[in-house]
Amino acid sequence: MADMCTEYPSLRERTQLVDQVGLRTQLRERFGFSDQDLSGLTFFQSNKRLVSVIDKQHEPEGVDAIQTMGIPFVHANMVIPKLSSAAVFLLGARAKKNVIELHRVQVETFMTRQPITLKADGLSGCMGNGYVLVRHQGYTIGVGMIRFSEQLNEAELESYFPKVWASKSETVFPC
Amino acid sequence: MNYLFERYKEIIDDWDAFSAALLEPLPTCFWANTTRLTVSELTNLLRSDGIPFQALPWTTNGFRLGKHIPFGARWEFKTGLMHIQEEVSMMPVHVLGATPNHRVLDMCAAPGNKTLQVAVELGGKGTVIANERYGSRIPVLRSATERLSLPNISITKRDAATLPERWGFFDRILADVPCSCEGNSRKSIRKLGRDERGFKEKLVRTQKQILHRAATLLRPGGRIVYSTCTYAPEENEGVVSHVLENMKGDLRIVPFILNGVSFCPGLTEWDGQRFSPELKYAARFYPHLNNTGGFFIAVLEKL
Repeated sequence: MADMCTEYPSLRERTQLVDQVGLRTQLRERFGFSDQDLSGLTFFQSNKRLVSVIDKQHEPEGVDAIQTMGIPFVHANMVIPKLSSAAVFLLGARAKKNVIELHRVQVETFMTRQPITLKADGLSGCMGNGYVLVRHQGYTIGVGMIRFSEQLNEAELESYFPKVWASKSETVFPC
Repeated sequence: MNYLFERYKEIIDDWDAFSAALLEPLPTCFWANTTRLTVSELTNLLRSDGIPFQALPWTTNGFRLGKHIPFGARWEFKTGLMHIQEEVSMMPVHVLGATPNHRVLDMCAAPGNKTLQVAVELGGKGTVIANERYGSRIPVLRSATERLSLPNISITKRDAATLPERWGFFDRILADVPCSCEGNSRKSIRKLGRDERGFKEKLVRTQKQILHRAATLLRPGGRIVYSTCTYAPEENEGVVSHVLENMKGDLRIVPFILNGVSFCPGLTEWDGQRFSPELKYAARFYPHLNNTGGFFIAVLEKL
């Protein structure tokens, strides 16, 4: 049978396409991730628009026909990086700033992708407008965008919870 | 529904109990994503919301819901802190015995529940290759990988029966092969009509090719778990016996234990056909034994 596989450029080549220092600096400045938090991970360009992440011990050598490697991490070439939901699930527990804790009712709103108005007084850990990690009971549940309104002493949280997970009410693949 | 399975009447220990179990809905089972939180942290979250559940006896990370609720709508599921999976479907990965230093291959991965289980057992580290022949099934696998945020999985698209040797050896291989899905009848009877002769013969041929390929890609000392969700001996003992014979003693079946779980030994003969005596170490799971779906598991090691 003819070999129909497609070649996947090497992980090393794809790793070199990412500004590793720049990305790590942005992550440290915005969310307080230390180099140690990121030490077990390799960032690589998975396509023109996306930087993905894979565990450093992952060994796909010899394996072809790869469709996806690791998980999406951040959109490439953005001035301010917007982390994917998978990325914040992976690293969110280690974030030290720009983190918002929601209570139960707010979680339901966040997961249906509706905006949430928050009192600015309770957002001392946020450094102004920009992307934030969202937690509930200490567990990271997603990423959002916060915009402060100084006049009203409040802020609006825009939900970036993925549509595909927001709409699911039950898994249909239990086997 | 039991009329669909009449031909197994003589090998099922309690036909009435089997028939009655087929009419009952399957319980919902789940496990914690221990790369994100501990098992006790998950159970505390659920208890604090008054969710009734009980621990499965054979694993430290598996639970059965005490009532039917839309569990997939819970925030812990949507954010990847836990995953829903049928109990008997969790067992193959448990007996696979993968550890973080293992290179693992899941040959027929979609929808991906077992892939996720393995990746979590490896602590989100190392190498899991999740292969799926059909591109249309890959998005489901990819989405689940992202929801559980597992950075140790590569997804490939190839025919499992022809995976190339250049992929290298694997320490653990899961061959959860396509099958006639008879054991899923408590969930869906959609697929059960396809019992025409040509379909079954083609299926068995594919299963043999996949298991033989698994044996080729397995590192000596490594382990394969061959599993199906069907009762058909042709797809279970017949396939394993065929490959054992072809491998001329390089492969053997090893027994396994699942605490608190009842199962029947694999068949050593069926319909006038004799299988390898080692098949007695394989396991047949019938719905009435543990209130699960039907399943077959054989654990094979390469000498």
